[in-house]
Amino acid sequence: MADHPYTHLPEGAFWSPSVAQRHMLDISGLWHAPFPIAPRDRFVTFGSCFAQHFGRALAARGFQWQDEEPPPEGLAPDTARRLGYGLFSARTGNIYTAAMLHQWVDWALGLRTPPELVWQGEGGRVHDPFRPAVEPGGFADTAELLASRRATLEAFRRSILTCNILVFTLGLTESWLDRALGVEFALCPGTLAGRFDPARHVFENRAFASVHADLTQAIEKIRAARGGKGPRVILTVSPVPLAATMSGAHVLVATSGSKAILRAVAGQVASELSRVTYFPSYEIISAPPFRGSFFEPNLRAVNRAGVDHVMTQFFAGVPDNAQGRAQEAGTDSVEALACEEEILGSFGPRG
Amino acid sequence: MTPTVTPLALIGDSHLGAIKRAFELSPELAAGRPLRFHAFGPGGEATRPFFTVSPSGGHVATTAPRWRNLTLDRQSFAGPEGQGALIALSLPLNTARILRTVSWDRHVPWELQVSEAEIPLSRQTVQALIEQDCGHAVAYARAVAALGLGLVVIEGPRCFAHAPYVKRLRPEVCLEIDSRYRVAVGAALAEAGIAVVPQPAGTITPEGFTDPAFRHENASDAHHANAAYGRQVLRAILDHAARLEMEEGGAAG
Repeated sequence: MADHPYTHLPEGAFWSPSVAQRHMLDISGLWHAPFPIAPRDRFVTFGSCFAQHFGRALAARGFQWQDEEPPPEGLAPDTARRLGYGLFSARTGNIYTAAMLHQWVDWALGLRTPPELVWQGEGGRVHDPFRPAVEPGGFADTAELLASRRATLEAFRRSILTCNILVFTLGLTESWLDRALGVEFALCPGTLAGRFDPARHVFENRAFASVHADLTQAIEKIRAARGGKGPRVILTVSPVPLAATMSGAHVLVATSGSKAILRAVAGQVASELSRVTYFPSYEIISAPPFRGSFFEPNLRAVNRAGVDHVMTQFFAGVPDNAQGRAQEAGTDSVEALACEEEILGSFGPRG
Repeated sequence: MTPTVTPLALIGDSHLGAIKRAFELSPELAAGRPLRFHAFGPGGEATRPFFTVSPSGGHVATTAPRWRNLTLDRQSFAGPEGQGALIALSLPLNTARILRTVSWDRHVPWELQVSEAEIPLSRQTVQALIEQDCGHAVAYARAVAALGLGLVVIEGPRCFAHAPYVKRLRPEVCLEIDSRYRVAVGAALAEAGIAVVPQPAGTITPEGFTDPAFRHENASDAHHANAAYGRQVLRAILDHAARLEMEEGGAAG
């Protein structure tokens, strides 16, 4: 048989042996970290909601997931998550688009100034248009909101300037802008809070060139602010379909179009910039061989098995020597013991 | 006919120690009123679910693993003539728990932030911390009150300025959390119709800490108060019990 370029390719290059002839859970080797990952590397994670799983999984595996705006110690984990803590490496809420990432980077590095804009909610409470869900029900007033936003911006700045590896998950191409201020919102005004003003608020479905430019500039600006020293970047695309579309297309078709653009941009940027890789969480959940089995019955949310499978594939691609160890549980506090002594002293048997 | 005297049962966390020592030193303070103490154990257990209510609603039982647990019903601590007891509970109004377990050295109410090293917290977040800390204890107070027993909550002493967990915090942060906690829990108890015996005003410094004159007899204990403090609180509880009897007597008459 003649020798040709396909002759020496690994099995993963061929559909039949690596996909069709395997059980879907045995499909492997989907990603290999193209740069070193050491146990001491500090990860930060931002992006759409699917990015939340990355931070948690990294921490659970003993990797150094950096939380620059942690919840107060003692706050119950469920409450902390409800208040937007511990989901990303700062309390940014979801950063759905490349343009919003670019905006956060500019604000954090002082290249642009965020407007002191708030959205009015119910009962006089106010929401942050750039992270409207981090404070359920809204902030008490504008001063509280702006103090919180400043802290998040500072935490975001520390995250991007001190991490070794930035994981960013692209979620959407559809975005809502304030024409007058030139800023992008996390949500359409009026949906969760605020008021929609058709004269001011404009919809834009970002095309490939726009997403590519924002993502590239965001990464390059971070690297420039660090004097060219890092970070390594892992890009992913959220497999979660759009909840709704303003594109005019059917939401299924719009989802396919948006994800195709994001997937193409991620691949393109990974091929153009050094130390940037694309991790295929989108494919692991959405590709036909997985038959939609990683989605919840609403065919949108990714189920636990899907998240676990994505993270298993991720860690399988990380060199063994980087795998961390889970944290050990803590012990009783000295002060709790002091209370027991007081009880014993006053109520225990006397000598 | 001799008026009936309501027995008094003091139950709850380790702050009962000061009251118990005061009573042991001066049993005449009770003026013949039957007094019983039941200390559960460390108040820190109260931040987790620690009690159950029987299906009939007739019994409320504490279940904390590290406590000397107690099951209450309508007849608990009743007097010889069957008169129901007044329960004085030291547990829901104890700010030491939240001051010790939360990272107030790094997280502060946003209005008090002075540096970027501090993470500002919204009012909602601070309130969530307070509710998380006191929620089970307030629910326990409600459940005990629902048994039909008389119930009054004893306000725990404010922290001492020299306590290690206070010294690592800025005083204004410590006092702000203490104040918000007392307001929030006080409101929850008031809503449930549960009275509070407040910390005696003479034991509080102008800054808002407990006066060091009332620090524990054991100098290494920077958290609990002494028998002199306990004496003042016991008097206040007894006064409260006497007032209730007068009111009930008046109502009956």
